[in-house]
Amino acid sequence: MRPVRRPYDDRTSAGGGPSLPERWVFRLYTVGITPATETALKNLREICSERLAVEPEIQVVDLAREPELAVTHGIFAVPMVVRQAPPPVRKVIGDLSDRDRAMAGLEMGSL
Amino acid sequence: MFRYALGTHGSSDFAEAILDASADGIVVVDAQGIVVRCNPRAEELLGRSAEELLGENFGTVSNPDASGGAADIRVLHRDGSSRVVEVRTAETSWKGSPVLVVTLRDITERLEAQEQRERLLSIIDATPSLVGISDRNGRVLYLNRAGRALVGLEPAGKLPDLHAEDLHPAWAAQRIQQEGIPRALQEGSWQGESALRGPEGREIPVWQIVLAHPGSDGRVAYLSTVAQDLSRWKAAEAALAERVKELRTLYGASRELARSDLRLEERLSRLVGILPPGWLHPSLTEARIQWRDRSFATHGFQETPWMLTSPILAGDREVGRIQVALTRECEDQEEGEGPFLAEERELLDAVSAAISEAVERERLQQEFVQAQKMETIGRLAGGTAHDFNNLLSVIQAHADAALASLPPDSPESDDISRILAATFQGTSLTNQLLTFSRKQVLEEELVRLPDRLEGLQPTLRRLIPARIHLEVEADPDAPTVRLDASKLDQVVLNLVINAVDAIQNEGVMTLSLEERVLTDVEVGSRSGDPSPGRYAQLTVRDSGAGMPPEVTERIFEPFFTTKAEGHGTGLGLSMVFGFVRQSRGYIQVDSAPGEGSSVRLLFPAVAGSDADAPHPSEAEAAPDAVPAPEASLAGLRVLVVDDNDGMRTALRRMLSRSGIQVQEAASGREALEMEREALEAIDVLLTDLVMPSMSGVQLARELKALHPGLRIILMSGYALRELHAAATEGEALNPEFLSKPFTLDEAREALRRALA
Repeated sequence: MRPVRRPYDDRTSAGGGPSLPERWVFRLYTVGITPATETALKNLREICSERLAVEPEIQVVDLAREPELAVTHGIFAVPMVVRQAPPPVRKVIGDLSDRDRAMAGLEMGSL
Repeated sequence: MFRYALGTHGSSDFAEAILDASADGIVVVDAQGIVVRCNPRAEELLGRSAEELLGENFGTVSNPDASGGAADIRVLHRDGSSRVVEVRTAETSWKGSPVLVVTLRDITERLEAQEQRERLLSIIDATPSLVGISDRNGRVLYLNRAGRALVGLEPAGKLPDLHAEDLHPAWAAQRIQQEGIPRALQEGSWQGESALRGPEGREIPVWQIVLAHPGSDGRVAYLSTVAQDLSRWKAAEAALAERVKELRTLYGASRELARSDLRLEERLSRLVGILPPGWLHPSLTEARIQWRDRSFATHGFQETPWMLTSPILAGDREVGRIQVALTRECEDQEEGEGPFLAEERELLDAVSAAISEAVERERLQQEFVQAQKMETIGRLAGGTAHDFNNLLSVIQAHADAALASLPPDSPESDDISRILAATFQGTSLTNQLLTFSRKQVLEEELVRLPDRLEGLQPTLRRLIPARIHLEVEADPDAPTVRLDASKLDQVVLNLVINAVDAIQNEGVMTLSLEERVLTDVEVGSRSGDPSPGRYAQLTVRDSGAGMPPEVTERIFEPFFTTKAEGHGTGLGLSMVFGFVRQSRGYIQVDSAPGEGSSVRLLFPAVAGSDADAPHPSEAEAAPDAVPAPEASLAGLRVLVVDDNDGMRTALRRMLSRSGIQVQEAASGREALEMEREALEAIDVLLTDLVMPSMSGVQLARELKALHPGLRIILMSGYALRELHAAATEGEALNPEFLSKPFTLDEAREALRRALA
């Protein structure tokens, strides 16, 4: 199956109608704050500033404090960066140091 | 998205077998990260079955493969636990679609082991002891930071080619080779004292442990060692041993000095041998103690440039010293007092202080013993003399009276004269005793000694035989003193006579007089320590036989004489002693066998102008002065009070011959019981001083209160200076003194003085 790629910019909405600015939301899952967490965060920000025209919302979830979320959110490894919005939801394991793989995984690669 | 069901149909058994057998967890995801396949190990790691995992959004991987475990990726088990994994990926296709094969290798244990190893390594590198490993041939494989520093290597970096032997001095290497390693091989480990070879060839003492590590073949594969630097500990141990040695020496010194069963000289002699062991190099140390003119030294003592000296003091005066000398220079001493330790200086000072104390104690003790002896003898002598005087007075008085009533040329007259002469000799004797016991009443006046000496010279020259040459050196500026001049004459005569007796054949005698100023408390005089001040010093020196110390110590003792029986009473010098003391002076004797003797008398100078002293022509020129012409005493009424009946009778007879009217009373009470009118008629009270119930002074006071015009004469064979002073102080008694025994003339003199 070929992956579906969607073009994106902040003036395009999901299906016709008046254009709304797109909201980008990422979640970074970690167990405790480690150097890897910080690297992941840094890399994510860089990727976003490069690929996005808007400031994304980045949430950090510490599974050390809320371990049950690992199961409910389906987090199998950390650090994990999840693209929450706009869809599709994509999960990437690691600290995003391989940029190409990271962007591909988050479906933020160049068209 | 495509889901691929697990199952045996459509998949190769070979691939399945490989997947199932893998010790790593394998998860296969599609391009969107959805799980299409996983293996049993992955199920274990994730805590979920394959059925639960299929179709789940697992995610893709964003780390490069080469990073190994560095990214610290953890896989989460359903139960909340996690394992650290090394993640590798491979892109491939399956059934025509691109998939990502994710391999999860559990490296948790490996990481923990690594961390623990790192912790241990940091301990090994932090410890100040040497830690090293060598192979079985002795080639050094590892040395920790401290070990490298101890043997002078770079702190880090590749080790140079070294054999374990290179790290030790020969003797230590041998010990380890012959004892350490075999023991370690046998029992697993060995410990012992050893040494490392430090930079510049310095030997570092260590406590070393050697361990043998067997390989799989049972033989030794590795040897490891830990060596603890003992330098500081050994230095501390050595210093402690030195301090203990020093203390022991001090204890020993104290003990020896405290041995009162030995003479001081003996103690010092023993003490000197105790000292060298307390020093750092006992075999090179010698000691010497010098005190007065004595010297006690260890066998090889010599003065060297490397010497410690500490004085022995009596008060502030140095009377000796103690020295410790090194026979050669020693290089390994600490900084401080040249070749000696600071502690050794302190030790010597402590010992010298102890000696000073012992010397002082000894001196005081001797003085005390001597003073006690003299005191006892003095009391004995004084009491005896008193009684004798009374008896002599009686004899004298009656003999006097008898003589007066006899014709001058009769044979009886001759006999009585001889009796009288004998009593005078007797009184002279008792006077000497009394002078010794300081019970004499002295008539003191200001005396210019140069003049007095000059006046004495004719008498002296008559006394000194021709074979002896007399030299007189009198400083005309010698200070004036206050003393009883006639007694001084006797004293000088006595000393001169002794000097004459000391010179057997020909010889020289010197009489010198000079001023002496003492700035420090002098020690070494026989009669206490003179205090600083100005003195007139009179010295009688002879070139005679001299005296050994045993004699010098005792010459002032009454009845002590070196002469044969009958040739001397032994009272002369004791009289000198008593006189000098009573005149507030000091006496010093120097003598040695074969070197003659000198006796020095020091009398305190009178403060104020010397010109106050009376010119000799005004004072008594000669010992036997002629009394002033008589004034009549007839009709005088005298009350005689004395508890001694014979005394009263004698006095009555004596006085009545001069026309004096004598009343008697046996005691003060009896006197006071007399009729008031009778008492008021008395002109002079002549009373004994020391009487049983009431003293003469008391009586005098009472009578004077009744009859203010009464004159007082106190008489005693036992006149105490203190009573004298007490009697005259602040009272209007103004007594005259008559010392028993006295002649009629002396009595008349006293009466005249009382009436004046």
